[in-house]
Amino acid sequence: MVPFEQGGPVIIKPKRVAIIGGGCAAVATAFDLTRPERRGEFDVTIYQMGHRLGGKGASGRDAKTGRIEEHGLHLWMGFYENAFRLMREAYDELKRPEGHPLRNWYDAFVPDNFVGVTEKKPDNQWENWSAYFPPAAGLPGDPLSERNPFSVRGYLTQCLRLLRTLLLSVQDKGHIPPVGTGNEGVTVAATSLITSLISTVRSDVYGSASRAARYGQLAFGALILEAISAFQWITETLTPGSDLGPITTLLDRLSAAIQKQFDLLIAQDNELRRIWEIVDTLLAIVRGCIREGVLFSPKGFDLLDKYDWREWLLDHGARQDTIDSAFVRGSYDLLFAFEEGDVNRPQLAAGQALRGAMRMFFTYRGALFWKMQAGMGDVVFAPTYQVLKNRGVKFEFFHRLEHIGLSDDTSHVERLDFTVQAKVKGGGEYDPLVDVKGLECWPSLPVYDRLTNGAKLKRAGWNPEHEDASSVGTKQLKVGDDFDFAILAVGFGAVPGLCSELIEADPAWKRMVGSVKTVATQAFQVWLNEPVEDLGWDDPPINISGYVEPFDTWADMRQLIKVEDEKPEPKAIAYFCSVLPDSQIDENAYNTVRSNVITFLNRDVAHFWPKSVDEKGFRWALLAGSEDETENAIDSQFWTANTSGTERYVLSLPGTLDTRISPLDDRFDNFTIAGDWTGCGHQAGCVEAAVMSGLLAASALYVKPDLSRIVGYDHP
Amino acid sequence: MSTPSEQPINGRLRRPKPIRTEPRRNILGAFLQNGERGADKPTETASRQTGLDHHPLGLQPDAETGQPPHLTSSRNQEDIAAAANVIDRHIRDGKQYEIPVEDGVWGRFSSLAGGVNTEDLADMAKLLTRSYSELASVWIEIAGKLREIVGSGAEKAQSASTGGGIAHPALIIQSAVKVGAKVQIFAPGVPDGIQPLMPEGGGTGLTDATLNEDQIEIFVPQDAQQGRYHGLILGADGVPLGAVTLTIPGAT
Repeated sequence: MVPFEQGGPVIIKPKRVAIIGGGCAAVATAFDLTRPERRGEFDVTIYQMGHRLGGKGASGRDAKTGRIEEHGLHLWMGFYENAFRLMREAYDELKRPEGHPLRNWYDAFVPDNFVGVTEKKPDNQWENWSAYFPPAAGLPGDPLSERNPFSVRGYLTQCLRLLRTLLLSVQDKGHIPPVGTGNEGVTVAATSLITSLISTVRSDVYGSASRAARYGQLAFGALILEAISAFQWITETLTPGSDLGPITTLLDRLSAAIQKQFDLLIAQDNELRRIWEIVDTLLAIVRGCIREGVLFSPKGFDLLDKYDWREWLLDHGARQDTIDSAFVRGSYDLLFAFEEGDVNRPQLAAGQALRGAMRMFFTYRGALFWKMQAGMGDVVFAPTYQVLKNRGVKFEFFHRLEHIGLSDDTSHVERLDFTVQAKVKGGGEYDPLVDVKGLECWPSLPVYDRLTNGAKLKRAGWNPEHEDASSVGTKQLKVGDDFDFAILAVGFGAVPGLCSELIEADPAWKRMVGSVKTVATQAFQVWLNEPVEDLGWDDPPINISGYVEPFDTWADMRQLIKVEDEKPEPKAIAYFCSVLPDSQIDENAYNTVRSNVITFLNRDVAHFWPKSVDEKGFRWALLAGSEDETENAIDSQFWTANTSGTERYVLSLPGTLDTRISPLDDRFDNFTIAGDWTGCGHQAGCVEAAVMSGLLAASALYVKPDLSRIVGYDHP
Repeated sequence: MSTPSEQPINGRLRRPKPIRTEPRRNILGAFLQNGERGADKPTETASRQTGLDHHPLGLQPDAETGQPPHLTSSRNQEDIAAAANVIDRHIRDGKQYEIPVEDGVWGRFSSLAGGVNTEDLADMAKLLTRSYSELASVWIEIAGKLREIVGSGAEKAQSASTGGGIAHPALIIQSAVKVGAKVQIFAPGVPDGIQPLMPEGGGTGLTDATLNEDQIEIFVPQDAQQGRYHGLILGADGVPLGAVTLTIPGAT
């Protein structure tokens, strides 16, 4: 960076930024700070515990089989605009050669249109409900046609459109209505309905009297649909100060009328009951937003964050059956929203739940879900690492932060104390990647022979991600000498232990640390010798949630077989995950999860794969990579207990979200934070929130930040 | 490159003072996102831009002024009521007949209800039919409320042309008896045909009803029964666009 002034060039020293942590937020921050258009304004170093980037999104490859081993199940949603934009830019910048297994971003992420939930029927049997969400216009990360398409009013209109569509689907169950983001599908469905009306009208007026039923049914549809349209129009014309009383009264009446219609039908029809549950949810959302004044509130959906999502729906007319439905319960599973991991204590802030649901269902582009075609480390963190390296970002692996020290006047961060876990053989930077079938990947364990005393470490099975791992020394970074700005981008669970001085100095930090909570998670992966279709699964590959504990979510990951290197190839790969109750966390948590896996496979998995069990329980010979036919075969598979501070998942508890500090907050004048636990606009534990937070953290160092580029930050 | 806030202080840099620290969550957030850049004028949100596409009656904003359609007259409410009456009349027609449970419609219904017995189906049909009147009243009430809510704004638009996009065909009646008639259009589109007009309460309809270009022609025979007759005006794709109501008063 060499600007010229009168009298000759003046060299301006780049600002040195120390980023601690290597997850999505850290990578997004570094990516933004080192954009070519910033012309070298920042000199960035990432300090990472252990041997790999990724944080909660880290994955590794088994050294022998190339199997992918994840911290948990990761699906990208079609509304992850900022995250996808980052990935698209990274892949574009990387310019991988032709023939590379993941040359472009669309090789790495593939649309997934099916989503499922499992629900318990009155007879205590479980039933799967699979829904197809059709492709929506555009692709995530495309430039938006409007600068900010998000508004409560717009969302309520979308709710009403969806309501119409669902009701139309009840009119004619042979027609599966699209649930897209536009109204084209609604128009087509409405036209279909009206056409059927007219074809009947055109026929003999004095024909079969069963027409009465048809007309009754149509009257139900036509009038309710028109009423909904009227509401839609009313919603769009409301202005601040409008008297909302008459509208909510009318909405109550409309809801009652719709409910009465469904009551006639749902007793005998599960599909109708599910539609009713969604209709009931939508009605409660519209009613609740109008009653609570969300439309014109300066707080947007935040206004509702003091309530639990299910309680809020109940307060606004949803029925108990609805809030107990798989559709609503699934939103808790998705966000591990169980306080202390106790599934009997579901807690999810209503405002964020609503914001997430609106973004998820109404603003997705391309597909509702996108599935990665390799491990998250391979797909996300290897290419971003390579891009950042090319830009000159420095990486200090095997650096575990122990303490953040403030200046005497507590105005700024003065020092960063690290444990150095290992040294690189011959000095220089550690080369962290390995090649698996032509793809750059992170190994599950360090590449020992690149480390000093590597052979010894390998023999000991040394894992630098374990809290009790041995180390080789310490390092202290000092402000002015080693860094100008510091950005803490680690998981929230580690924050209280690292930031004791900040918490002591700042009441806002104290408040945040006192209220934001995390939860441990557990996950396992199995590689099978038979395809799941042969085990009795009849539907397309699916991601399904809402099932029993200890593992409520299953994702079919068969797409990974081709990028792993196991011989012979397995026929199926399945990932399962769930919360891990705090009550099960102790030094034996890893073994506890092992027991949970065995229990689940013996007792519960038959619901998905009925032929995977016999009278003795799970057929252990199905597990690939093991000759053992007892339950010990599970040791050939992979499971994890994510219990350490950096691994724990942040919860969106009611009444806590307003305590989160924003990366933009100037609490300490050379320091900021990044992570999905910060006040980043989308207050949920997910990739998109982490990336948004990273972009905010970078913006905090800019003189003229352009926050409008962070899609969905200015969002109700 | 450095700014006053970034000048070294005691040998170190400070963060620039943030312009703001929170997202804009209010309704104006949609308009103000580019405030940091300050160059662009606010634009309308998607819902605002397209809101009138979803007018319950399909009315379009005035092409010149962009103002909402005029809703202060009683016309819309009458339209709604008339449209509802058309359907209502057919329901009542249907109720005069026995319900043959085995026909195709019931087959569909049976499937819908998961294979319930025919008595249940018959009951269900009655309930569905009965509930119509409740729903109609709700809907009409909403339409009336809509008129109240938007009344003040619509008054301003009164001088603008109304009902842009609504084709309103002329009505020509050949009748040997005194009749009253009106055409009500409740959706945009080009009329393509008209149903025979059927009397409320059943009976012989007025079958000689045609639509030629922009004219609806109805022939009323001398022996036509007194009462109110309704017929739907249809668009090219069979979508109902409006209704013709014709009244033959009784002898006085």
